[in-house]
Amino acid sequence: MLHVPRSEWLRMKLAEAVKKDLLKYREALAMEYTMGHISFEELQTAVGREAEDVRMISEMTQKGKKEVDRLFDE
Amino acid sequence: MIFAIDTCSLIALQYSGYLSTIAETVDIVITKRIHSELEEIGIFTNNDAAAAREILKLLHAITIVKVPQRSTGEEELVEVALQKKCDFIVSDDIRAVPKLKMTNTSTLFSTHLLYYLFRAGMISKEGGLIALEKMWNNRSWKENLIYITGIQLFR
Repeated sequence: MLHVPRSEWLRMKLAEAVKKDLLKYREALAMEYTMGHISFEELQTAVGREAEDVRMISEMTQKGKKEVDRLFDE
Repeated sequence: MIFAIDTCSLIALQYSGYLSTIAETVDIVITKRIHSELEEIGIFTNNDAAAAREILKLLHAITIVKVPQRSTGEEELVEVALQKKCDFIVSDDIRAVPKLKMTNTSTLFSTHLLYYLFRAGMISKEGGLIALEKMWNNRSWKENLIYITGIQLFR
């Protein structure tokens, strides 16, 4: 069996938990931006460069929505 | 309406539980490469594999188009979209979006197909939001952003 020192195992588990929590926080912040509860600048302060991704995907979602709406409104 | 859909969007829509409804409502075209990718993914034992196997059961409602082999899947999807005169290309692959945008065919996310069903009166607002949550729980950060921002569609 592969032996992993207890401290290393614990460090790995903690890193996994932190990574998971960070992802949840980033997603929560992205949702707040999407809902218009926080500004782009506030999002940028919290998640850094990834704010650009959120904005781009949000804009593409709105653009696609208009295209689908056009199909039904014509 | 004809939609050319990529592998990750098909899997996301399978998670939503509405892929079969979509396949009955609109024309879906995929490339031979996407078909092969689904078969390869389906070999494994994770959630994506189970989804891929379910999609393969829907092939009677999906058109597979053979196009000349290109270096990337998105290039082949563009080729098939042009060949079949598709109304939309559907992709949740953010890295592929710049290439897909170079065509005259509009690019949508998988979430827009749920919105299409909503506008067609085939699903409720709540049904759409629940479907988004199912898609959200199974994907990576950037794909999850698509499903998070997809909430806008049902507000």
